[in-house]
Amino acid sequence: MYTGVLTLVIEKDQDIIREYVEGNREAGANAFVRKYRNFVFSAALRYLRYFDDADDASQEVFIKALKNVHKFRGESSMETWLYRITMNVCSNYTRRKKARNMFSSTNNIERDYGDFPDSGLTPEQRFENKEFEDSFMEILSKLPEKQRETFALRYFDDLSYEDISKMLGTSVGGLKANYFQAVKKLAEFLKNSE
Amino acid sequence: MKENNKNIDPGREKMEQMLADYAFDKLDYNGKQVFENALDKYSDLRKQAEEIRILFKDVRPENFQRRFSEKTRNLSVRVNERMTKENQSFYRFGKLTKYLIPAAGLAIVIFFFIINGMLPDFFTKTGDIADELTITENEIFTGITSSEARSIFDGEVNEENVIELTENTIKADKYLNMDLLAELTPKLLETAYNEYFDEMILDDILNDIESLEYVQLATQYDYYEQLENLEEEEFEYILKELENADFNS
Repeated sequence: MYTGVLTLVIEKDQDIIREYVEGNREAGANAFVRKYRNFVFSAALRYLRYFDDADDASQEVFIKALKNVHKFRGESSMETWLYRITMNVCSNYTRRKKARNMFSSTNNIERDYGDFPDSGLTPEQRFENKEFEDSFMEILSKLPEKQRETFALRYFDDLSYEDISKMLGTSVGGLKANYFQAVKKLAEFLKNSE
Repeated sequence: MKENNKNIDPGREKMEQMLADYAFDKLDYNGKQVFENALDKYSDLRKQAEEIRILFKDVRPENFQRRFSEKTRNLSVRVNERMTKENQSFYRFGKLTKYLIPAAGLAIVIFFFIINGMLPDFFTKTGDIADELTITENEIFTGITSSEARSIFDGEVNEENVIELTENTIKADKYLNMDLLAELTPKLLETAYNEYFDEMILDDILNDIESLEYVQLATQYDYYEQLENLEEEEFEYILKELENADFNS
């Protein structure tokens, strides 16, 4: 069954949920994943640092979310709900991976942020952008968790402090302070890399 | 509103908290007014805000989003595929749990009852097992005639009749090994005697000894109590009697 057009049409969370629960399951699932894939994937990537791991974890997050989406009452935003699931899945994923690595000889310490796919720019621009963005992600990953997450959720995902506060369990005032500190540190890095 | 905002000084801490949002143009109208009006007092923050704006001009969220989008282009397909696979395996497992596991459980319970000979009545009342039990029962008692059996209760029973009746009963039981019984009989008798001696005779003797000890103690206690309760006259009388008594004879 072709579900592409329908997927593009459904935008509102409640419509997506209704479609998934009562209508065309596949179309509902597609619409849901398409709407939140970047948000979930980027959060998983910040936590796990590897693209393949983030990809696996994102799939798991969406499967869990879709299985329980009928329970979502809209008391928090969908992002808040998905973020909690993502952190939970990533935490379990890390534990499983650590256990696997105990019996594995390979030791992947280096992150693979450089694995971003091509974006349609000229080769030179692509290289420069890629290198810059990789470096930025690298330095972002070195920030304390609260500062990193506050910056990413506010700057990249454009979420309100109220939503971020629910996600991270920190007061709005604390988040603003974290955001300021993160921006100052990243600005320092950007100044030095010029 | 603008006039009011001119007089508000949020303080340095609040100004710092607003700085990044101001630099990235994410403050709402009122917030922006408050921040800009207060900047005169915090000139270093104005400079910082400008610097941040310039440094972050290449850090474009849309660039990162685009790259994430490219990476997650087929995520919905992969999610649907995985969900389909999981549903299929769940369906298979569901069938397994629905039919196979209860059947296996029932088989184990029946096997347990058979092994322990604890089949409920409704299993034994009908069918092959019940028939077999009836046949065996008839075979055992074929050696005893009804007149012989009745003679036990009719009163004219002598020792020979009882022995004959017992022998017939034993012969009728095809499961009883007569040779084995003959071999075991002396040992069984010895064991039975020993047990009887231990449990009945020896116990009785020990009980008797214990009783005698108790009687002796009780008697001594009685004498002592009587002496304690003697009247003065009675005591004098006893002493006189003792003086007259001849212990040497």
